[in-house]
Amino acid sequence: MSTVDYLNVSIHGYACEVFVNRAPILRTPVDVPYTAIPSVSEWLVSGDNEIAVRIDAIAPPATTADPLSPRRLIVQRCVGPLGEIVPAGEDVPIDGLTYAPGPDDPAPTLPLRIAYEFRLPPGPTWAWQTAATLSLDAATTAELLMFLDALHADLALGDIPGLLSRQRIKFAELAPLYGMTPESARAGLLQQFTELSKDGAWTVEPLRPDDVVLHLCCDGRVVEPRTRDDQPVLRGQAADGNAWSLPVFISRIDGMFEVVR
Amino acid sequence: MGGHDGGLRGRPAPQPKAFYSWKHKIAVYPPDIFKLGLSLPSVRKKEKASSWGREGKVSYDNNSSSDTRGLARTSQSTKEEMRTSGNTELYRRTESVGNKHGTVTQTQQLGTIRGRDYSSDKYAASDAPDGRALSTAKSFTFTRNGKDWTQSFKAAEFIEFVLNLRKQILGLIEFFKALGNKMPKIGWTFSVEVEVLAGSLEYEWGYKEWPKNHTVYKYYKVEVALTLVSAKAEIAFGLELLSAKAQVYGAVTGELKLTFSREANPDRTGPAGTVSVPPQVGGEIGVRGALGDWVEVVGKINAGFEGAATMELGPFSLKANFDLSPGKGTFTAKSKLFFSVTKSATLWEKRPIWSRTIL
Repeated sequence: MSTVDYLNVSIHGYACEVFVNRAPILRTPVDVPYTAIPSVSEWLVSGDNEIAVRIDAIAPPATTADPLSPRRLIVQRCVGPLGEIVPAGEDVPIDGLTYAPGPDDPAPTLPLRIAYEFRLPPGPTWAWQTAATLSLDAATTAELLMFLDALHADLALGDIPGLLSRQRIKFAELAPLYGMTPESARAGLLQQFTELSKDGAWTVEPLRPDDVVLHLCCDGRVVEPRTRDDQPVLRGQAADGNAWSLPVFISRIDGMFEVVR
Repeated sequence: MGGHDGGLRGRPAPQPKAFYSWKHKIAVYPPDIFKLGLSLPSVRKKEKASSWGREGKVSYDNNSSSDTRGLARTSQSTKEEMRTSGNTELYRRTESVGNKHGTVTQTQQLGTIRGRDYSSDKYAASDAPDGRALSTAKSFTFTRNGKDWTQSFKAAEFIEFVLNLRKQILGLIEFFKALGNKMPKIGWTFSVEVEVLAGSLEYEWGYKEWPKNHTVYKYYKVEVALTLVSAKAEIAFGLELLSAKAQVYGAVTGELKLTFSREANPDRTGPAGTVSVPPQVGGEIGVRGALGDWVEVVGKINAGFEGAATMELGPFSLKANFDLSPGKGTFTAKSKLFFSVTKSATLWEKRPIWSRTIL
């Protein structure tokens, strides 16, 4: 049975962003509890790795403590069987980090970054690890927006082969991690698009450059575009009335921008 | 008086009124002061069951416990049995409650026998068939001018609601069990714990004369520190969410509590005394999908308890309704290779626990 690396995240009372090797994985709200188990295999590398949390805001102390929903910040690295549900409480953490200041500790200066490192045995080298280091100057930013515009046009036109052609690296690297071949994954995406766009009821939110924020990550080798309110820039409404989105991470590979995650 | 006044001779002169006649309605009011006292240690209802789906495998899970708590001078013993084999599941709970007047044994069964749902609820009494009534009635004091009038208080209705509450809780268990059985491979577990009527309530009422102007007013005085109901539900079960299997898990609590004292004041104007409180709620519910693509909750899953306790003070009434609110949320299935999809979904519908006039 294939296994997958994942994080067991349980945070309440902290607005955070969680990173694996400086790639953003998730963000948590300050006012409600957050639990999730995102898979992260595609961000782990041979040798030294790092899991980090940046705390941006801390909720004020509750007037009455709720023992069933306490303030906490826990991020654990786990490995589990792909495609299976690990019941809550049965995760087996390999390592992790916890932030639990004492009641008399002074308030930290925000943003506060906490991190830990661990080593992994040799594995694949991902394309993003050797991608060109970017600086978001005007020329690069304009080029990235053009690339996003091309992705947006593929989606607006329903040109899934065109969309897939810009995601070759992503499908080549991720499909084997998640129990598929690149071909079966491509077929799966096409089938999903057919369902989501049934009867032509498929809309794509306009791409507004003034609402796009380019987040440089992984030491400048990867860019994640998000809206100002941290939504994926490529998103819209599906035929069944639900919302769809396509979060993308972009790198420059051999001089060309590619969707790598 | 000197001289005379011939004009008035022969008949009495009209006299200025020495006293004005007066007419004043004397209100004859019942001077009795009634007092209702309710001082209860908690009546605790605790039901637990757990199962992990093992299709084709017979499993047994029997629990027994004995407890002496709750209503004064009562003893309690509980036996739980869970039998599972193929398409048959049977949960049997036998509980005996006794006091010096006798014992009442309640046997409840819930199950699916060869694919058909089955439930039963039977009572058997020994010695004193009204043992339950007596044990509960002992917790009330009802006095008239300080003398015990407890016998005139009809406790049957009150007892009925306690028993009804038990049925609702068992219904809640059956409900979650049905949800969990839709995804037997994920398995389910739940625990529902409800505590009712812990604390004290003293209410005096009658008519009194207001010394300031001798008028009569409706008098009441209430002192209450009463937890009407306190509930905790721990759940974990599988369901299909966004076309993928997922586990819903967590615990929620709710407590309806009235704590205040108030006395009628004839000088006070305004609406009649009404106190209404919502439940205090806590806990949290989470969702997790299968490893690979993952589920993110957008915002918070709304789940817990809802309702209100309402006490009217003139005339007195105490009403409460308390429900398990629907589990609702907005979820994003975050896909590694495909489109991520965000959808609002109801994990479970609202479940009433109880709603009635208590006193």
